[in-house]
Amino acid sequence: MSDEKKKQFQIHLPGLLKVLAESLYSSKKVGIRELIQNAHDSCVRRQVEDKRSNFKPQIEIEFDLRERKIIIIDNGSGLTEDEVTEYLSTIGRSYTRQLGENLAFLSPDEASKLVGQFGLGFLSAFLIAEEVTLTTLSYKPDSKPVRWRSKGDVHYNVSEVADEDVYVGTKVELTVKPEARFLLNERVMVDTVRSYADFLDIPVYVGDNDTPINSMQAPWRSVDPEIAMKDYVHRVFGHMSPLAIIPLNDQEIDIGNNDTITIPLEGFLFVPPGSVASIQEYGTVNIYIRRMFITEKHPRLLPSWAKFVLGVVDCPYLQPTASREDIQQDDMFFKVQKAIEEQLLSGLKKLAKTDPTAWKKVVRNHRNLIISWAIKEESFFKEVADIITFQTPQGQKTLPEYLEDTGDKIYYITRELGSKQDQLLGEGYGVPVIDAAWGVERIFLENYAHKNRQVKLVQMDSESNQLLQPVPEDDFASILAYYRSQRIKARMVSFKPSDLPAIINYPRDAEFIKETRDALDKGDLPAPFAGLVGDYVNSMDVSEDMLAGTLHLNASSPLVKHLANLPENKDRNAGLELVYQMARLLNGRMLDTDDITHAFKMAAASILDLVDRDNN
Amino acid sequence: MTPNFIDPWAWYQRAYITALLKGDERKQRLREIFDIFANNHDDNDPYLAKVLIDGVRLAREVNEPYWELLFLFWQYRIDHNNAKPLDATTRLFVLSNNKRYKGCPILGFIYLDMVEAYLLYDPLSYARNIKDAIDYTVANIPMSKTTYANLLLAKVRMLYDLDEFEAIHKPVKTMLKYCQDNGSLLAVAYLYMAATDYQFGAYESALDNIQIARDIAEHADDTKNHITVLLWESVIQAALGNHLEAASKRQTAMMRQRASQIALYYISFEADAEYWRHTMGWVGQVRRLDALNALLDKTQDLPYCEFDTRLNLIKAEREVHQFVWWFYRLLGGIPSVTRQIAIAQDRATQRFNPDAYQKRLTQFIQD
Repeated sequence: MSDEKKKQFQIHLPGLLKVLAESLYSSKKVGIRELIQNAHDSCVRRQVEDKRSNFKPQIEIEFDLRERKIIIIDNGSGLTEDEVTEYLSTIGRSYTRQLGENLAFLSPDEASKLVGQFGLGFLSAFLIAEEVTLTTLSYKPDSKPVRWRSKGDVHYNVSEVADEDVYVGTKVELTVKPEARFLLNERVMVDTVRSYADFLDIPVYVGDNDTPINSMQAPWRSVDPEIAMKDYVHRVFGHMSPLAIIPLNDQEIDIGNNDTITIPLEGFLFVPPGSVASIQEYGTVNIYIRRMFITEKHPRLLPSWAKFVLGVVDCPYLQPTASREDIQQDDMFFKVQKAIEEQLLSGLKKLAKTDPTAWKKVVRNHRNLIISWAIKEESFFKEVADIITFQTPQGQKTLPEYLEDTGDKIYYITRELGSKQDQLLGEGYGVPVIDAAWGVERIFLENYAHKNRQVKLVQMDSESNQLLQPVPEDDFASILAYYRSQRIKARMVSFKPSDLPAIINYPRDAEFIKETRDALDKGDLPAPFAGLVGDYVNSMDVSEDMLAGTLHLNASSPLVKHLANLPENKDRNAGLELVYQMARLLNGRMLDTDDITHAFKMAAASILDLVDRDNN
Repeated sequence: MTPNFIDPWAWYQRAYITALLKGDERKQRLREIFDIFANNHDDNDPYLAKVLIDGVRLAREVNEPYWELLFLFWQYRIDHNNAKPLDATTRLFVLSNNKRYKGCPILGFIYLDMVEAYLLYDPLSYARNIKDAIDYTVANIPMSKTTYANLLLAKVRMLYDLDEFEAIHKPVKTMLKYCQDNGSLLAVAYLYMAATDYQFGAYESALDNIQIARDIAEHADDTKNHITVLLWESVIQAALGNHLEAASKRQTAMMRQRASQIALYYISFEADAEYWRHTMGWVGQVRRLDALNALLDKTQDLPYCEFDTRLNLIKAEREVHQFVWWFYRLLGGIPSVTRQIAIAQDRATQRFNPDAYQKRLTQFIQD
């Protein structure tokens, strides 16, 4: 039996540093964020631990262009020599995490301000620097200034500094790599600091600026949050006038077993104006953790249906990834998502109730997205079913508003062509017909009727006959005879509006079959395809009788009454022909040249006769 | 004859630039609407249908028939989940032949869809029509090189389905010329070359072609064709007696199929059954019957494929060992050969062109 030997992994530190520093982060600017974060946490530590001093924290960023250096100075707690060795030179050992754990019991508020965690942040300095020099003096009594220097290889130097000018705090000098030289531009640095540290409550000065370049306050914490949030939306998202803003607050959520948890939430969500064709998807948020920016346009924290919403979320319960450029999708992530969903839904409901005009604007701008997601997500449907508006002849109405007018019936049309006559018919009876040409709207209405059993759907395209009242045909026998002689199926009914003389109904496939037959007869389809199309159309099961459609003549129409009283002559026939062609046109039929010429020739001849008769 | 080649999207750019120069905002919106659809097309969300409805309405309002047809084309596609069922394709085809759409650069797509829909539905009944339709389209409808290559592929597929193997070589060669920058089409062209070589018993040449197809499909990241090609490579390797290699290729294909959950082509299932034909022993023979029997279920909605599979099943029943056949029948797997022929005859009479089916069946029985 051989002896088992315990061996140790060998680590090639420069390689590891290179991988961590260059592969962990996507942008060189992240190096600046990590160093600001360290400086911030150092200030927080001093605020907590050094309560005797009249401490005013601040962070400065300076440039030495000749030496190609960026210098980041804070007046925080500084580090002792032991702390430098323990935390700065041990990868994965996080000083901030250690401090956070220590403070958690004694000063939980301060602990919650700390933003570092993984002990990898300092490594990111090597993302932008070929050499890093850190000079620090701890606030602790009798501490001596220490200098730590590394070129990102296996070695580092630590030495005491004799310099009397060293103050409490830390100075990090980065000798910038050629590829990160762009960071020596003050404008770039200002933008970088603003994008990451705008909300940090410690002032950050860049270059010779006398005023801090970060606003030090999140807009929702401002004295006038509404104006500040609108200004922020304009500045960061480029939207001038958000349609609605929903502030986020701590939210209690149910986690099962009769237990709840409060999710601390800050920030706000807003509905931007709709873009072209109103279908631009949004649904993303910028994420902060304890006021430090983590990532923008995160696509999964908002509920999937909220594609018409943008926002900013600050939640300490979210866990950043090691690079701190994304969020871990752990159990807590989904709890935060649920909390945001609940706030968003209640915010939208509140908006619909307290400011119906604003809500209607939201729906008008994003209706397509809202309605699409509502039919996918049961819970969302429930929330918006009564507040979504539909296009009716009387303008945009919610379904409850609509049902107030119609009782328990929803009249709708699904066909764009041919629907005009149904709309007119509905209007004649004071029935507002909803335009549901988009299939999703029909599904929405069906879902609505399914959930509200008393509501009945009436599809006007196929069921409009129920608005037609049969009448005795004796007084109209002569005009019915004319249509029969033209092989047009006609019947007398009464309907409103009375100035509409006739409508025509076709079975579903009639239009296609008729047009195809016409095209085949005229040789409009290429011969090799004509056989394929002909076979297909012949296989469709529609009777010839049905195909012709039924002309419903309106017995209430003065024109029809007048025509019925005229003697049978070509003037009357011209009128009847025009009534028929008008009904076809109203149904959405494409009239061909022959139809139009025929009808107008008859009408023209009739008018000329009348003129002649008048002249004589 | 080669078609009049055009870039079907050139007008789309021109129309937009013209609208920009004229400051016609409504016409500019046509392109913006289409771009929104195109950029979100993969999402398959229902609101995309609404975008297309908006597009059709606007195109009608501003009297832009080419745009109108483009939106209608995608509306039909979206309504049918990108499939090309006979009904939708025929309706769109009839509509597209309205005079107002004359000269529209996307007519090539619509004609190709029509050919493909009938080819999938019933290549035997419509063989003559499909051949003529392809020739007509090539001669009269301007199209892109990719559309032309797809039309040639349709021809190749039809010839292959109808067992007219000797006629396949020429269109495949032409197709290769016009799809050099399209990995998926290129892989399919080599696949059909390999499958045709295989039918002629030229296994070495088949292996060369299928290996080229495999490399191309892999390089093009085309999972569906890659699986199909691997299945055919397994058949060819099995025919060459390289059973280990054949089994390995088949195994890889199956694993990729399970992982991707991609629906396979009919030709892939054919390969699956054909593989067992070359596998020694009664297990292989049972698996062959089983594969064909399962394929019968899958082809219920495709009359020709069902008919063809039934003929292959009858052929397999004749070729397997008597003992295996009886064993399989006892398990309730398949009816007798006489009964299978009667079913095939019955199905043949229900087709658009029963004579073509009867003729093929009679020839099969005589062979």
